[in-house]
Amino acid sequence: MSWLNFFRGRPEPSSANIAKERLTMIVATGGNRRNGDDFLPRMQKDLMEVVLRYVNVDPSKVKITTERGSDLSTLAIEVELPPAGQMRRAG
Amino acid sequence: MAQVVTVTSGKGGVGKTTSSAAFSTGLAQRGKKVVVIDFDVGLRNLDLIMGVERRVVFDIVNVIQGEARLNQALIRDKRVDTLSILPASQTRDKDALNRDGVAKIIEELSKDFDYIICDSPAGIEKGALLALYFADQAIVVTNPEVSSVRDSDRILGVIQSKSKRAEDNREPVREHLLVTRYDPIRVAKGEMLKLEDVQEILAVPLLGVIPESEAVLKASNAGNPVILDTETSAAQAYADAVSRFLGEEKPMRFIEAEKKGIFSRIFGGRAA
Repeated sequence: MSWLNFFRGRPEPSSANIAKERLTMIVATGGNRRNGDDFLPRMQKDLMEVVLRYVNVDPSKVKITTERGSDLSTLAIEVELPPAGQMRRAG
Repeated sequence: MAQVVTVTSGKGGVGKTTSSAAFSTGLAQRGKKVVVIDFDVGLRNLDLIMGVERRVVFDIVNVIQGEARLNQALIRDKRVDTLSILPASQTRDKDALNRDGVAKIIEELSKDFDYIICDSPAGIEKGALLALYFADQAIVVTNPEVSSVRDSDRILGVIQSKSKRAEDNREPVREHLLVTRYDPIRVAKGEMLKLEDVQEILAVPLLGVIPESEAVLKASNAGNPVILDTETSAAQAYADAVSRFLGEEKPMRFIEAEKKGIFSRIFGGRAA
């Protein structure tokens, strides 16, 4: 830090803060830890069954993903439907 | 039944062996029967840090291969008489260890000891996996530095998925965080991760904070567990960690930068 910072108004973030920010990102999104992620495969299977009960789609066209961020985590279910003509209700 | 406590970190050079030596000596000083096992086959160092390198005759691999009995390989510490050391082999490689062999050793040691401390090698391969497999508790040694924190996070994931307790669906391994080489002055300057930040990222209960200290290198030079240098901050911080491990309440010390007085500013001098 130099005396010039005095005029810049806002001090530069400390290197320790940068370290914390970077770590928070990788640890939050890395999925290294359990953090309750255990239920994911089971939930994925259950969700898949529900989707297939209502729409007749190829199971490989159903994508379930989770993403963790420091402020917000998301669960996304993406179902690729067949063209309108071929669509029919399952069962 | 003995408690198996694994000292691990993922990353190398953060203070696993120093902490294993200090922690097991501290537990033994409290009257607990303690054995500390070096799992770093091929790169043994615990014997040096404990100052027993010249008394090593047999090692853990000899015991596993049936070349020696466990009692022949155990080295009784001369400073604290309830403490024993089981050295690693220096000449074999990691494959000389196997799960059944280690299981037998731990079972036998359980009869005579209260605590079995496992000093893990770095990494997340065979040696490290074996060191943590039988753990009831784990002490994760972390430096306030990005790569160490990330590796600690990784090893915590391994403990939670690859330990015997996880495989058997038993109560999970009890985890403790031990932050080492903490330098409050650099933290105050914003050059080093704060204790709270490391804790927040890893979300594991804090067992202790060992300040950066010249005493650690001096102790290893002499082959003396640093906890025996009772005048030093590092020794006192390790002793506090042992107390907390045994359920005592101890406030964290050595985590604030000391205000330097005019004399120490002029005459210098660094914390012991």
